Amino acid sequence: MNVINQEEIEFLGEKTIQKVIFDNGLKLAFVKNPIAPVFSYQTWYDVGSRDEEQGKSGLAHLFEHMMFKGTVKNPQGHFDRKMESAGARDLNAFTSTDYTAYVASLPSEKLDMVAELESDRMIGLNINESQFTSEREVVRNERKQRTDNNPEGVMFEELQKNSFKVHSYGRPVIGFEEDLDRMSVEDCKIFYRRNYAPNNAIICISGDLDLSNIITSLQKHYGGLARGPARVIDTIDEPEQNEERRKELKLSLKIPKVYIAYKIPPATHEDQLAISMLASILSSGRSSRLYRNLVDSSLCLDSGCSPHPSKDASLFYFSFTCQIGTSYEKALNEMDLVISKICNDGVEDIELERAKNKIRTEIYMGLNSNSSMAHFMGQNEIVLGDLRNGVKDLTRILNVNKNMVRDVAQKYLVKNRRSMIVGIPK
Amino acid sequence: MLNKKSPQYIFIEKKGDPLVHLEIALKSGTIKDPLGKEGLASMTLSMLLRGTKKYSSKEFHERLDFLGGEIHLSKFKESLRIHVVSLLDKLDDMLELVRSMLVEPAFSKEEFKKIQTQLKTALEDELGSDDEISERRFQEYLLAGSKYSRASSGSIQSIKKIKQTDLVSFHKNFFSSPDFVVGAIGGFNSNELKKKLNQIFSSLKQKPASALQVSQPKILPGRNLLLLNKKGGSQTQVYLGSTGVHFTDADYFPILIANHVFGGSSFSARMMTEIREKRGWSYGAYSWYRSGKKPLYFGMHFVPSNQDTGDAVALAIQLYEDYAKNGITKEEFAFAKDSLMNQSAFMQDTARKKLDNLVTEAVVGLPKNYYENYRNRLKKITYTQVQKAIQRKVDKKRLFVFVLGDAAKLKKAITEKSKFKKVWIKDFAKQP
Repeated sequence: MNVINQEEIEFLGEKTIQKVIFDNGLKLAFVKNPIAPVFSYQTWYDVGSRDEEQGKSGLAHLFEHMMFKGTVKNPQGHFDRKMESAGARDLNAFTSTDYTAYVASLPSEKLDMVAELESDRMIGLNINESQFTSEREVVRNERKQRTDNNPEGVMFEELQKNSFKVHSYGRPVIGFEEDLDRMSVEDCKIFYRRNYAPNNAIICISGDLDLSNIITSLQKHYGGLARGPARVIDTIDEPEQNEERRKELKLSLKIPKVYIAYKIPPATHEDQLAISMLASILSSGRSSRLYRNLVDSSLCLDSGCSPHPSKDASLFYFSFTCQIGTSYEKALNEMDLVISKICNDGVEDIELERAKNKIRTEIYMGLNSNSSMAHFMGQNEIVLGDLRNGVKDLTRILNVNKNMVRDVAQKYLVKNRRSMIVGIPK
Repeated sequence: MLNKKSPQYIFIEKKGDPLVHLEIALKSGTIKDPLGKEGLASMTLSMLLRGTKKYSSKEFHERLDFLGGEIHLSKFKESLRIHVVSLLDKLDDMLELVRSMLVEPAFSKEEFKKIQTQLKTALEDELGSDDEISERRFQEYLLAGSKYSRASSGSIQSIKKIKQTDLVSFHKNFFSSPDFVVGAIGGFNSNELKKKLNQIFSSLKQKPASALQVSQPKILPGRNLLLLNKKGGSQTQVYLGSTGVHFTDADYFPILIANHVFGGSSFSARMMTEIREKRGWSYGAYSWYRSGKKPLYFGMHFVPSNQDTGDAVALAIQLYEDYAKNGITKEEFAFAKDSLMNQSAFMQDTARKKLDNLVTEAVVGLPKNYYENYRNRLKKITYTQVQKAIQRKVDKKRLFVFVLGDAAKLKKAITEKSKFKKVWIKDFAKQP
């Protein structure tokens, strides 16, 4: 396995990212962080629930569980025992709409061990019907815990469904129960062959290691892995939304809650940075507009907003929980006033400066550990198509001006582009 | 010479770091709440961010956000914590905010009313979450009779009884300079920072608050079942509880190894293997020990479907009793010891964690360098010590089983498969 490209990217302060591409398509991103003799090792696959077919919702996530079920070389239980015995922390995996990641943090001398285990399960998974049946039951229980028995989980699932009528983003990552019931071990095997290969993955490492040792170790363990088939992804365009979609649900809540999602463009769109700045001005800190007008005014218990940039059409979420005695309509009306004021009058200089100072703090705080730096690299490589774009955004966001913030508010915070779920106590 | 009226300072300089973290810990926590006024310490802490004599609440937060700073409050049974994050170039301005909130909080009646209403709403809201209400009620019932049983955030009834003047008194009596531990990490100069902090704390009370005498919570003898009735869900929240072990007990490290085998944060642990991996009955299944200045409790938790709850409870009891009787195998011991020793590298893998550990040692009264020596202490533990610790500390005579769900339907399913000395049914919404 030969290196076909290697570059150094300036990152934070004196830190740099080393990005390496190998000839079988595998990518590596590495930040040296010698603060303690440990490292974070994350394998990010460019596949998520976005890539599932209709009727197969939940497959990417269920398959993520199956990745812990053993290979010919390391039968069930061996992966966990070897990793845990080596001192692995945060041994976990997660599936999103756009990606699936397998993460662990280990003492520095365990690099070769984790590379061997992760490369083994990248192509050598060996799963059977009985493992599938018991793991599907685990996922059903996970679904009940996160969604069916959690009013906020129900509301979030409904919000996604209401926001996307065609696109796979409208289906829950954990899957609909009826889709899980229909799924088979064969579906998992097909999904695995199609999506798990070196040319669909990036290994993100941050910690007290040397690049040359990492390259040697990856060449040793991933060198024999051939490229997988080229993936054909049918992109489905979500039809334009032209009316507010509002749904009231009676749930086992004690206080009314409201979840709202406005349509925004994909993560790579030039407006995303101004949208992030708008979110900060609206809801970051207690001097923010939503806090002052909804919470400090005693209308609501909490309120907030945050954009969720994805590969395709994305959503800008708003939420609030009413105070006892406040109707949701009254709180919603106040939220709409806050938004219309920004659309009409724009924002003040001091608000922008405040937001920029807060964002500076959040960047330093958000990238202060091995796992957060590895996460940053993996997520940006997959969602933005190149992690360099994410790095550039860390400084570009500080160039956003008042006009840009007002413009994105006017363009995207439009009632007929929003979906809303109102949770009402039964 | 150490000024005994000053807080205890723990500084770690990190040249070039653009941020400063301050960890301000007061060695008075929520167990100091008077009976019937639970939530007082927590409310007092929250009110520090609701305006001071110099800044109104609005001015305070505009200033804080303008500086790009963050202030997070957390409440614990034995301490109250204030975590401050500041950009290095704004540190002096942030310290002025910290001074004002600590020394001259306004406790205005208007803000007090607001926070009281918000807390009542938050406690109502909690009743809608199975996760949150079951965790709260488990501790309230398991530790009943002890000050540790009372929830730090209080109850709807107790919040109503608290008056604005109670907050003023709590601040006056307990915010005492020598009762603080202040940790800092970042690109500051220690001498300069110490001078500035001394100025702030010299304005607080200089005499330490009297220590509160608390005793170890007593778990009910026998195997007992409490069904907390909440209808409508397709899953139950199951907790099991028994006697705890203190941090400084000679058996603590052996029992940590034993618990890693039984239900620690490991996919290879017995609970995870038997409940999740083999049967798929719950997404997670864990056990843990809680300790403060006194040993608190041992807990187990999992979330099965309604139809699996009877079998899952019976299995958990069987696993616990087998563990209490036979302990662990030599192979399990070797695996758990290696795993925990190797994992201990992560207790000190960021400068921030090192600081937090040192502050925690000072607040809880742990031996000096407790976390620094963690790995070495584990290394010395033998298999025989672990087996003896299990015999001494895994309580065979007390097991409290707590299930939140539809009590009428669950009672038969659970009691058919497991025997209990007593069975109670309580309403989930009612405070014990």
